[in-house]
Amino acid sequence: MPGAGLLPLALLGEDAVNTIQTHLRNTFNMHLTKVWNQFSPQAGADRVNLPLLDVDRFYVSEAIEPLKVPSAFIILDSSEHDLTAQNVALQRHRILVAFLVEAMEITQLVRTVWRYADAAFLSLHDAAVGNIKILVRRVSYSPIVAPEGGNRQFRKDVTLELEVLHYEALPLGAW
Amino acid sequence: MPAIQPLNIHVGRGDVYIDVDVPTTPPVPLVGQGVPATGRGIGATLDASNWIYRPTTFDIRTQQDTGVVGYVITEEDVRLEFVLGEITYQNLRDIMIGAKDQGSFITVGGNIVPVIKSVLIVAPKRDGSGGFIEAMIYQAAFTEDRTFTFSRAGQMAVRVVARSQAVLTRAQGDRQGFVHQNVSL
Repeated sequence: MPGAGLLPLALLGEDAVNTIQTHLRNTFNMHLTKVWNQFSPQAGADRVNLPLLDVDRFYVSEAIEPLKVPSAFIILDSSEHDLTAQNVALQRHRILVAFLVEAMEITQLVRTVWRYADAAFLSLHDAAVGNIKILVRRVSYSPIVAPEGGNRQFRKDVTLELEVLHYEALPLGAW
Repeated sequence: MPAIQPLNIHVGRGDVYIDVDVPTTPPVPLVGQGVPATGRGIGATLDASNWIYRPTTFDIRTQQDTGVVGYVITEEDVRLEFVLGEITYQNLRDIMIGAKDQGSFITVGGNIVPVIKSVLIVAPKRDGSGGFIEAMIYQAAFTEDRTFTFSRAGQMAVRVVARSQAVLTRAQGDRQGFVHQNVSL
């Protein structure tokens, strides 16, 4: 349910995004620590720092220039109604979760993005949270870009394309 | 051209109830927002529900004409089919013909006498009258296969078939079930 005391909503995308935002805030750093423990304690060139994300770095819009990176963006792309469901709301959302990372050294930047993707995948894939079930369909890695303005940090992001199955009871008598 | 009333074309879901008290005279009285006073709603259904009347007829022919001159009904097979969404103890107990009720779960294997229950569909009409369509089987055995699909990318949807058995204590012509096109609260 979207929230105690509230009527069930007809369009469930916002509720799904809120659920994923909360889920990432609760679990992403834990999985990032696991990934760090797997890779980074090993000496050598593969070692990269994996800064944890503050809870205020999980945005629900893509049209924002974050003050701090790494940051995460949870973007609702579309919702499809499964009309075979007769007396229950069954919606499939396509939600994009992107992580933007910055670094001065390109190889470290690439490895950092890969490992953020690992942690995000561990956090999200096959996760059942409340009335939603999350599946990661695709992971896409952006090219590296150099921001304007003389900033020597390079940027790269990774986007996880989620298929989110969402089940909600309908108000009695609706539709 | 006959008068056309498109509002009589039905579009809409049906809610399925099991073990509803069978009315002496149809339909089943509804309370609240269209719920029978007895029985148990099975919850979410994940595809269209069907009430099926399937008669078998014997054709009567004569030497005087090439056409069939009459039909006699020799069998009537009434079914109600739906796709169960909610996997609960009560639903498992009620939709498997050979299920043994273990109190909080069910087992199968060895039962030969089916559990018999009534099944009712209640469908809100779309004409704004607040009425409902009802379709019922008075006594049904939950026959046929039950397939439980476990899939990471989709919900379990169990197709259920309930087949009628005649209630011989009822009047001829009213022994298996009914469809009522407009039930008011």
